[in-house]
Amino acid sequence: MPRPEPTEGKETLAARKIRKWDLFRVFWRSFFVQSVWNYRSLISIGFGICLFPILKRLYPDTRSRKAFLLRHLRFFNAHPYMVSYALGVSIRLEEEYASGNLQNTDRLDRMKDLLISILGSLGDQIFWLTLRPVSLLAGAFGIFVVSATEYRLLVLVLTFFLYNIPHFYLRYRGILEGYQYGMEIYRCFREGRFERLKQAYLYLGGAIFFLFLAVLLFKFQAGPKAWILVFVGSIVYASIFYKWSQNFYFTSFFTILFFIIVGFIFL
Amino acid sequence: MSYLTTSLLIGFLSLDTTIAFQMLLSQPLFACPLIGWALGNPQLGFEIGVILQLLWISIIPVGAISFPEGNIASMIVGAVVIYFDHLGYPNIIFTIAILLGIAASYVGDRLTVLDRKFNGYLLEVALSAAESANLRKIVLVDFLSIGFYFVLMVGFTFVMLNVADWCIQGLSPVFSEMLDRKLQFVKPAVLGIGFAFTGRLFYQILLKKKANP
Repeated sequence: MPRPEPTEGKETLAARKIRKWDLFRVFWRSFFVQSVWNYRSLISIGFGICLFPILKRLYPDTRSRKAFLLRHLRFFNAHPYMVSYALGVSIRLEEEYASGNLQNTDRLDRMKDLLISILGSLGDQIFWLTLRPVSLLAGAFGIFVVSATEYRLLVLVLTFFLYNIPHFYLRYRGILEGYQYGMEIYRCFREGRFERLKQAYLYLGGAIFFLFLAVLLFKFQAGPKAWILVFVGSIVYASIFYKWSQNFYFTSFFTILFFIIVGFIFL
Repeated sequence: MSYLTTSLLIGFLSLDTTIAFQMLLSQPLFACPLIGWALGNPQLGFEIGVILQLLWISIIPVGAISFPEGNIASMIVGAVVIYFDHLGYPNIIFTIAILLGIAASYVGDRLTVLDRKFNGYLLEVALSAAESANLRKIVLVDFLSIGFYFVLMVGFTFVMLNVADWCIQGLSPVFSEMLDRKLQFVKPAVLGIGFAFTGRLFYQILLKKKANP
């Protein structure tokens, strides 16, 4: 993931009050960003709480603190990991506002509104649809093929890192880059920046999926032959049923029920 | 380990689903072995974790949509299977547990909706605290929300474990080797359903990728 070159002016850098430790405290708090998720303002409370170390650093008086809180408690949403970019940008713009480099906070509000869809979409694509299923599938495969408890534990540890290294990296990097680029944050989301990471995980996931399928069929061969038929049959049955019903509960329940009946008839 | 202690452990792990961290610890692959360890049978925890992980791997917690709470359901299934493993009817116990688990994933989803509605009330409290710039009160709101979800999940797990206990004790007179043999297709069927959902997910991602290169 190559980083974009910064283009900011030196005068704003000189006016910085925020310390690295403040950014780290925001990073730690970002793990709880969804804790007060609600249907009206989505993650805004968690977002606001993440910024408390910044609030304390920048605004000593009650009036400006109140304005800060009301600004950040209004509707906001983002992917829980990629929200770090919005946090970084907010820190930067709040700092500029507090030091008088920014006349009002309209740009910050507009920027946050813009980031909602970008961060949501990016996070869903990278983490929920790629890294998470692939890491879990890899972990499930690893545990399936090894049998000793200590090796299985090792697989779990590797799975944890396979997922959480990019997770922690982007969470922290997002705050740093958001803070560094401010209004120019769009440079971080240029096309293809996260593509290599996604592709690597997708290829890994595809390969593991077919390998897992092959190993499962091979293992079932050693047991009762009917298990292969049930396994393949349930894949087909569940796929067709889900296509028809689009309902997870019905698909799972009726597929299981079907094979319970099959068991009662044939065994 | 009592049902209450197990419920506390499951309630704690369930925080990882959406409330805090989201580091995979509440996923069946991790949570079931942890519960297995706590209940003295990690190997069974690993086995159940793999089977259930595939079942719920494709559920994506995107935005405000409601989705089956597979994580808490898997932990309940794992705990039930391990608790009653000593009866010696693995297929019967797994069948009862998985059917309860599917129901639990639905109820878990409803409870998450309830929690989010409760958080809407907390937003009002937070906004009034913001008017007086009371940071402590807002932090308290945060802890209250986490605490509410934790209590909700502990209570739910405790109820589900007792329901499972009641079902298994009630049905135990009809348990037999023959019934257990007749239910031996359930585990490969659940694995198959998991592969169907997982395959569908990968197919959709790759298809989308092709459509938007």
